[in-house]
Amino acid sequence: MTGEALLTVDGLVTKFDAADGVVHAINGVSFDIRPGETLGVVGESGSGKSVTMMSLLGLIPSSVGRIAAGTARYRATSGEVDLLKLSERQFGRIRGREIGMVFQDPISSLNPVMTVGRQIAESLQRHLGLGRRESRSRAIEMLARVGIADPSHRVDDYPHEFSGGMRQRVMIAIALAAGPRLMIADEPTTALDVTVQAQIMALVRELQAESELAVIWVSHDLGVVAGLADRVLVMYGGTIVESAGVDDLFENPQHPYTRGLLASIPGTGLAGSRLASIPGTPPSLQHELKLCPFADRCSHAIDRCARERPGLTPISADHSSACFWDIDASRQRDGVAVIAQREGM
Amino acid sequence: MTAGEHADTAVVRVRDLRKHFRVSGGTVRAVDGVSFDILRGETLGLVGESGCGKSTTGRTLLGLTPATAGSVEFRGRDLTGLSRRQLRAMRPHMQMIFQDSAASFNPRHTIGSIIAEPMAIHLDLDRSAIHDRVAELMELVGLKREWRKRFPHEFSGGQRQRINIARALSLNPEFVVGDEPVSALDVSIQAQVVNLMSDLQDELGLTYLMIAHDLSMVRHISDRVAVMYLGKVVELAATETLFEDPQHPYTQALLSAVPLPNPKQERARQRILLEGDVPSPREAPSGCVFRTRCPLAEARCATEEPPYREVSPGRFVACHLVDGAGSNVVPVEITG
Ligand SMILES: Nc1ncnc2c1ncn2[C@@H]1O[C@H](COP(=O)(O)OP(=O)(O)OP(=O)(O)O)[C@@H](O)[C@H]1O
Ligand SMILES: Nc1ncnc2c1ncn2[C@@H]1O[C@H](COP(=O)(O)OP(=O)(O)O)[C@@H](O)[C@H]1O
Ligand code: SF4
Ligand code: SF4
Ligand SMILES: [Mg+2]
Ligand SMILES: [Mg+2]
Repeated sequence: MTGEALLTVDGLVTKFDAADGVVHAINGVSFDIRPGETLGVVGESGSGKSVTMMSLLGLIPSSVGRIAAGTARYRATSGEVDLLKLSERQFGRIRGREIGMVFQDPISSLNPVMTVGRQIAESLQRHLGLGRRESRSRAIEMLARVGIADPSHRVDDYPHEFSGGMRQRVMIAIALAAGPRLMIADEPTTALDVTVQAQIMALVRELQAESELAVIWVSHDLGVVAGLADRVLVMYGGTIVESAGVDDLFENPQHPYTRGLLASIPGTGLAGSRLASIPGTPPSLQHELKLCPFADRCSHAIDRCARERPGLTPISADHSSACFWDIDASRQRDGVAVIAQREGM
Repeated sequence: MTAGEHADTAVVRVRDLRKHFRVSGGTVRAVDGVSFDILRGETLGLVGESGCGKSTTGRTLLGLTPATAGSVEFRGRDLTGLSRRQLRAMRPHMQMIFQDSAASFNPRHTIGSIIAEPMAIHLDLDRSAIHDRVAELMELVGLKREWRKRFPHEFSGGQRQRINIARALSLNPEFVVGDEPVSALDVSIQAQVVNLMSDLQDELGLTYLMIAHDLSMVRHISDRVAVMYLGKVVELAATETLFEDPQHPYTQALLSAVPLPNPKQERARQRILLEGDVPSPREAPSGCVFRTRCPLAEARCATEEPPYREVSPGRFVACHLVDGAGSNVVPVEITG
């Protein structure tokens, strides 16, 4: 997990045109990921985790939404590209070849009328130009690598003949068949039972130990992220509110939202005590974000929080937070960038 | 509150309850011989993986679907033999809260009328009494009474679940089954609803059966926990006993698979990784239902069903290797 970033996202803004107005889904998201690193992305539903990933993969249909700003520099094998500026045709060489994808629901991502072997082989033929026979034997190898027993027979089975956990293994086999250096996994274990989730998490750890595979793992489950990630991004209201190494994030959370989120997990407080909860609900995203997205739920809010929007600001090596307040010191934090403010104020 | 503080009066007594479904090509044994008591004022947690029969147990227990065999006694009376009309008369005492509240509401009804509906059906109250009671219930669950004219879509998921709770409590039930009542909610909102439910339990002396797959949540809310696997309860014990010292090999594997929100613990942790997935309940294995995935299975596990027995006071386990004398005699094989 060393060296230059594999992917550097800077200032991503994604908007949707809904019936009742614009949805400001992503409001300036910046992060990077290095080879071999696992980046966990957490946040509650609607915080923008999936839209961020779909934006990077060119999967926002122009009929419903658009990327309004930002760059996403990816070091592809053929040279650096900006993922936010590629045409659909150019994306054909990126998705599956340079970046593997795994989603929550394997059954809708797999083709039900094609054997799993053909689906893996297709990726190999398209991206690596392998012949029929060679791609079939590579498909069998891939199935074995993701832990499917009896792969030389299972290669001819259809998706419905696999259990949920095995289908997710097949999805991972397809995602990794062409040898991408980055895998984006959006809630890949959310639909699985906990004992099967543990198997998939163990598999991904093994695959990473064998190669320099970088993984972006999106989850709303902080336990899953604690178990897999090297670094964590916490999303709220279409922004990153905190970013830190995994130990630092769990032991020394700085943003009021992150603290609230961690405190509301059962088992983290005193036994038998009440759960800490965050009053209120997440923002509606109907307006351009010109204040702190957490302002109306935050117990530390000060006047300026409703007038100005704090930018993600480094507070120590590899730890950033987007908040004007320093909770531990009980005073305003110095040097927090103001990245937007309400007019007439 | 612990179960022991109360005189052990069982509000609900379930014995050898079975619910089988005929489907093309066979029979699904969704619930296949479960027995347990639910004590007055306690929360019994019911956990297990998808399809193991938790919801079916909850529904059968309340008579929402007829049992195939076995008995469910509520305040000493067997519900399984009752006619529809007799069951209806019992309904106010026993209520269910479902996972997806939004789906069960009529979108054209105001939340005031949604909360009032069970009272209008079951209770002999006049309009103004119902009106007052709705306001009282809304306040009880933390909703403003001025909101009674609003429609379900104007509320967030957490608020809709509060509406659902108000509705379930409107008939003053003694016993409430919650089927994943917070699973669809985000963690910070889950906490609001869980706190509300435990406050209401204290205030109103409610008895809960809480169905959930989130084990940390179950640990937080339950006095005792029952673990299901393929239609059977494989282990039942006081919450801390179960979490600190699980005895059944399935409980051990299940607990070891739960991700902890603590990276250092996660890295240091030894895990029992089970092979494969849960078999289809249409083809439940012979003998012990867990044997196809059990790291400790022996020959007799394929032929003899392990009895569900009280291996120590208040702790029930169904495994040939856990006999009460010692426990889980063979150490479980651990993989990293
Ligand atoms: N009406 C029905 N007809 C046929 N099979 C059914 C029916 N209802 C439930 N089942 C089956 O019975 C088994 C137990 O289902 P149940 O809904 O009780 O599981 P559960 O433990 O609540 O799972 P989950 O965690 O997914 O909610 C499953 O295999 C299910 O498919
Ligand atoms: N097609 C769409 N049209 C309008 N709004 C959308 C669309 N897709 C997503 N959104 C909105 O974008 C925001 C972020 O969504 P998403 O990234 O899916 O959240 P999550 O963090 O749960 O993955 C939400 O407010 C969601 O409602
Ligand atoms: S900026 Fe203000 S409102 Fe936002 S999280 Fe920090 S203290 Fe709270
Ligand atoms: S009875 Fe046998 S198969 Fe079943 S849990 Fe015990 S050891 Fe495992
Ligand atoms: Mg999502
Ligand atoms: Mg269920």
